[in-house]
Amino acid sequence: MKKVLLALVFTGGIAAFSNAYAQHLVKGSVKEANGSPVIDATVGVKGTTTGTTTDANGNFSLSIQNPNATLIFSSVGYTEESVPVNGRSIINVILKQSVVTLNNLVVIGYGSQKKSDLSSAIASVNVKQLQTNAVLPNAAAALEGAIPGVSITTSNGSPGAGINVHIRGTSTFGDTQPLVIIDGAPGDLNNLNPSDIASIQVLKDAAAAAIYGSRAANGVIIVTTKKGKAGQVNIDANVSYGIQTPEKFISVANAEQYATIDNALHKSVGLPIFPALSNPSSLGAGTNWQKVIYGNAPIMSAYLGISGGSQNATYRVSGGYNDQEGIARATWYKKALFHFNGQQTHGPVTFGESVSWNNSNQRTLPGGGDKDFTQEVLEAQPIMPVYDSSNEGGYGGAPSWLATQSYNPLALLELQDNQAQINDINLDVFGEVHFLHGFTYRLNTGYRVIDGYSSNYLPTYYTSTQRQNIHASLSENRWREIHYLVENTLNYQRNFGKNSITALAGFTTEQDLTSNTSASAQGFPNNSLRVLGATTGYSTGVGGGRNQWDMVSLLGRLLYSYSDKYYLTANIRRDGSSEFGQANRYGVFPSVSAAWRISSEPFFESLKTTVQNIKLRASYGVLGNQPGRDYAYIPTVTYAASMGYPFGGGFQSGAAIRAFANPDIKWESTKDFDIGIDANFLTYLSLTLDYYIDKTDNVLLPVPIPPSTGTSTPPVINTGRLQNKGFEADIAFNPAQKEDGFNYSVSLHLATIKNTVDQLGFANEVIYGNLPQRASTNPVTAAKVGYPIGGFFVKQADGLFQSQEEVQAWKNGKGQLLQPAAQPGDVRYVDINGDGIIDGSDVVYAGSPFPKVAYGANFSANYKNFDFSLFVQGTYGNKMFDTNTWLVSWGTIDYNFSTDLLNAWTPQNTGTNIPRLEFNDPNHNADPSTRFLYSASYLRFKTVQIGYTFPKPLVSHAGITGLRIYVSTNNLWTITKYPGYDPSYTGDGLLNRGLDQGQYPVARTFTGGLSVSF
Amino acid sequence: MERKEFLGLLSKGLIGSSLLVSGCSKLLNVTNPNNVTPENFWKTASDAEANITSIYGVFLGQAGWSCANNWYNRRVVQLYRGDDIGITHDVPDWWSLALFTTADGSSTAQGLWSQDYQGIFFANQAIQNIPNINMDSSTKTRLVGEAKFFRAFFYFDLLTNFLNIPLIVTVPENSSQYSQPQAQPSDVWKQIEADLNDAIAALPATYNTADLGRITKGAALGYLGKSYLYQKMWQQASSTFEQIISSNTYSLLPNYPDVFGLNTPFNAESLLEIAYADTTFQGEPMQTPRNYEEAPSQAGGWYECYPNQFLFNEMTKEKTVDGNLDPRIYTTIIFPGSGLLYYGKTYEQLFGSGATQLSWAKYNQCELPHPLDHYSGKHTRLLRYSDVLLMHAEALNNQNQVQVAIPFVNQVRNRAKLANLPVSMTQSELMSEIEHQRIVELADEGNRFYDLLRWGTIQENLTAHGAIGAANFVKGKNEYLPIPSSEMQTNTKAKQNPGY
Repeated sequence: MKKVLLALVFTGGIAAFSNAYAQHLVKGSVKEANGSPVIDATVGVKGTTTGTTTDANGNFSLSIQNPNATLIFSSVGYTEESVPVNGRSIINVILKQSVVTLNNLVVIGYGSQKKSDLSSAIASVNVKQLQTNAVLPNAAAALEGAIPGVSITTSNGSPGAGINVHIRGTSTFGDTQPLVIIDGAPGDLNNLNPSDIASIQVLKDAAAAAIYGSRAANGVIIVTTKKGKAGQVNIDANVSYGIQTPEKFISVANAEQYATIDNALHKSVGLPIFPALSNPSSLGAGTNWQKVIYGNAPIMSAYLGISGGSQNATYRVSGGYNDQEGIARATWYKKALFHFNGQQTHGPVTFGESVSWNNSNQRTLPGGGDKDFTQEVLEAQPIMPVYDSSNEGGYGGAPSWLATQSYNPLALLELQDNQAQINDINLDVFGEVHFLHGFTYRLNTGYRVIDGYSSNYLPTYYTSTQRQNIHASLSENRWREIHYLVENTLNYQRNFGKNSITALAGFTTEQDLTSNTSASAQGFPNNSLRVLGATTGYSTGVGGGRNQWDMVSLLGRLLYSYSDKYYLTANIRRDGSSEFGQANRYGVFPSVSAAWRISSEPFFESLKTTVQNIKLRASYGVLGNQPGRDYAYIPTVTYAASMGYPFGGGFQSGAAIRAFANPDIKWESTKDFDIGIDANFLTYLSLTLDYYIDKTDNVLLPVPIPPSTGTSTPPVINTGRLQNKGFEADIAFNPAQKEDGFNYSVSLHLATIKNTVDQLGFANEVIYGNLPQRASTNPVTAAKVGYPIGGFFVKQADGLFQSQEEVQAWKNGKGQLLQPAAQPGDVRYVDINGDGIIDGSDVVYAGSPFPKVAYGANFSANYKNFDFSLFVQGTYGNKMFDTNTWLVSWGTIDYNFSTDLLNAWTPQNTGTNIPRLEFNDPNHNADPSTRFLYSASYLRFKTVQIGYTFPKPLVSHAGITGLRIYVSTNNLWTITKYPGYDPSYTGDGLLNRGLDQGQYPVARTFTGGLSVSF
Repeated sequence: MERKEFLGLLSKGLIGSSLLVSGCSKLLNVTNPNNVTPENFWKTASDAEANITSIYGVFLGQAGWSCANNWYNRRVVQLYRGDDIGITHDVPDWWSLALFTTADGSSTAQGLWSQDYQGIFFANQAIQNIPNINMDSSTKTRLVGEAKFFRAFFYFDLLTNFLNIPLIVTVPENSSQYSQPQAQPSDVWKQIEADLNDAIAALPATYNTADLGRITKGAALGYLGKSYLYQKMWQQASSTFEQIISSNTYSLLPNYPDVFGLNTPFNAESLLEIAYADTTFQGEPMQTPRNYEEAPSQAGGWYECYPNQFLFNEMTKEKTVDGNLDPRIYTTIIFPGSGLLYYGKTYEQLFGSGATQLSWAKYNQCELPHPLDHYSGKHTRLLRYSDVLLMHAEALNNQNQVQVAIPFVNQVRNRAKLANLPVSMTQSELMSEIEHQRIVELADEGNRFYDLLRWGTIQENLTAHGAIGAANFVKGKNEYLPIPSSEMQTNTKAKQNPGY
């Protein structure tokens, strides 16, 4: 079968050249009724995939094969026009403004389709919105709150931080980031300049995404970048400058408060207080470490795009530069982006090439302590001076009588030099040929190489007896990832009467090769020699490895529609991946979807004045997923220095099996069902509703096995079933636009997600998330059957004991005294399992990290030359465990404390929810419990922007076609009860989504900018 | 472009991809370039050596973790529950051990459990696979003997700390074998004895310099005797210790500080020791973290635990024949008025005048002139000849051979310049003296808690000596650690220890 298909493709390719076509050239312009040009309007040849877009003056030029074809003109916000060519070579068209935006072409993967013809859940991002948001840190931010069911969360607030994109719920324990296709090749949203983006489509359901098969288990985001247009050269430029300020500080003790709390703790167990802390009020405020570390930081960006071309060849070149300092001192991120798009047409053949180069440099927070840096900042003792010139390095430190001396966080931040540089070059070339009637063959090749380098240098320094470094250390790591892509696709499009058929067949291969080399050394002659070769050799180490991943795929698609009423789409893809053993290497992923446009039925005519369009959709599809771990099925013997021993004759390396491999792993599969409705009514309202259920079987999961097996590395096995259900709504309100009047539009998005674990592990065992930093207790998040992934399982606190009588009265059903040793002021815990003992097994499901509802709303308005936009977003119903406030609430270590502890329970202060101070904490008051689990529901004024566009007559004499200035703020205001830095944060890894741990605090940004086009 | 050229290019792409299609099953065959596979391992003598070395790596506390964390877990478990130490406050898991409020989530207990079982897993691989390797048979026998010693050693550690443990002596073949039920403690003792007897038969008494650090027959005999002693099998214990003594391989060093010295590794008194080195290899630290964890904060350490007043009193109770302090105290405790320099400073310079705090000297590097290097390369002596002598005396005394036992205690006393014991001692007097000698001779070496357990006097001693956790100690529960939650959550056949 494979060979037959290939033979077809091959003979088809040759046939293309035996049929030379005469080409017919059509030129013209697309304008509004008032004469202003419609820019970026799509001009397509009906029944083919041939098409172009209009330039900045609304002009187009297009070669067509059939001089009697019909051209279709469409653009966002305009009613589509069909114009038969009838042999003409100049066609001028006037488009009417419309809010019914059905007829835009939507990129669907290996092709495009009219939005009106879609039978699956595909959402598009309004590109206009992208353009006005010129201060977006990256392209992913453009998706933020723009599409229901697409959750965009920052992993932290550090400069250049990546963004987590989740489409709908979570269907896998593996990588949950969606596949991003940029101009046909897999790419990275963070590497795109927002100003280069022409359109973004999100394939949400399996039926839409199945053409990407196993690559699409988490949904697909398709980005099309801007292309040059025939005609004069266009230049777009924009610059912006902003200031970021810390949005929030966590309330920790000053020096006087620190001494007060620490003295009380020592007295609680009869320990002598530290003499130097005996008079708290003499210590004053001391050092406010959060204010020392976090402050205002500038952010700037500049962008230049140049495009143009002739009838047969177009180009677009752009460059951007971003320079951002972090609100934590000494952190920064600089990124330069270069992008080139070219396209050449020669008869039936079209070539296109896209080149991008992304160079980024950053300096990150120090790591390597026993907790995250942001937590070091909170725990830093306020009695410690910032600077002390008598110390090596010049930084202050804690006194030596403190048995637990905190780090000087500024010393860590400024001395520990963590830098990373990435060069990411992406080259895509395609050739496309139209032949016979309706056939298009396309060969698409992609080559991407990422070179990374990171270094970490820590000089010698002294701040205190416990916090010093006597051997300078340097480690360097270089890695390279090379990705190859070859795609052959054959497309056939034909209309037969009212029947329209589009068929696609393809063969694709991908390969990913990664390698890394690392070296480290300790001991350098002085702190200015920062190269490995200079080491005195106190300690040296090397590392390195290589990985390979291959995939081959066959794909096919059939789109059928009848009379613009009935639509049917069927996809099938067969993927083979080297991540599986020979027996389980291939997976087949089919999907089917259908739609019925009720509004096209004759019986609907009478309603058309009210309801312009209504379409019902239903789809079912299967997607696959792979382990995301190369060689997971191959058992290995680890040979390592880290397993060695220094015998008398010298050091020898050791070798043993360290972990079990599972040779039988196979594809994980997600079955997804979606029903939806698209409707437009009253000429100004549009509505999209979707409901979906997806079930993932054979979930690939590293399942923890008993440590008594001798290995703590969980083997990946196929086990378990996950389920996501959700409802999504997208409502837009676009009243008719008035010239020179006040215009506005509103859109609302909301999505619900219900994630449930149906089955898990070998025997439904619970799988736990990460431990909160330095915790000696059980983890707080887990996957457990019947609950959402990463749900919270913690001890249930039931207020404080107010008296000894209450302690004595605290019994379970069997009359067992539950906390016999407790004292008034201790936390009362619930004996969940009823065994009469309060311990780690008394955990209760205490909430989900997934919001019940996630929502976003955009309001935009303009009056004359002023424009205004407001974007709010929020969640409701999700919880988060705040490790930051938890760590400073222990009251068991001499590090700094939360100011909450000033309000601790005492016999005189009983009206509090803070337990008594007890240095040994015998009642485990500091254990993770519902006391530290908070609602992370929030409503955030994410973006507020005001712009002014200069009137054309005012600027046109300078050759300027557009000039806009704006001011904008991000994260202006957040309404939340969450006490941590950022309620919108999501933790690393699926199980830890709700574990707020060591994140870089979020910034509020004020920006001003200017964009100009010539 | 010429049409033919383009056609050629295109057909190349197509033919190329058709080759890919027909050959795709081969295309997807990859090999892991980073590791050896089990089929290619256990073929040569050097494979066998490397496999055995991995067990020593666990012994060192390595195997992918910094040894700082791993071996210190064992120290914490051994020391912090004793009645002779005080602890500080910055690692909650450690003070909850000392407080006897440890729950099954304890990362220390879990670390110890996982590490011991990793050693057993590696030993099982060696015991199962090395016999099939075609190599020099005497080396092969010795290597398997080393693996058997370690399997017994790790089971001894598990049994004395957790009591109810799965007994696993083979490598699991599939996932159905991952969960194993806990064995009867007596069955684990039998396995320990069998493995140690095999090791005794296979191991040499001594090694040449290149192999120094490998397990000797003496170490295996010592652990076998200790195993009998822990089971109160007095006769078997004394006859095993007798073999060590009569071998004349070991003797007490005349100078007590030399026993623990940085420059006196593998001395005549040492039956088993962990070879740390004051260096790193391939970036992996080879040092012990004891100095880092236990030195006073004034010297840059974390002062996690320290000798308490009870230990100080015990050590100063009896004067030498010359009327001086027992010399062992200078090697064991940093105390005011010792007249010694610690980290290059007098006690008063270090702690301030009027200070009274005590700090561990044993295994710390306080004799060095500067406090800078927190990690040390001092070997940890796990089993010493003086311990063997005291255990032997105890075993004999329990067989009511008081007179036979006294000279062995005297050997230990005489080295400390203490007078001979009166020959008129009763059995219980000698037992008290053995207990006292074990406290002062073996302080900070991790025996006290287990001694009190086997003598059944733990609770009264904790209370009498003001141990921080005395009030929380529950008989029938706190003798053993909870089975770690990581095991309870994954092992479908595991049962939690009583009281947890």
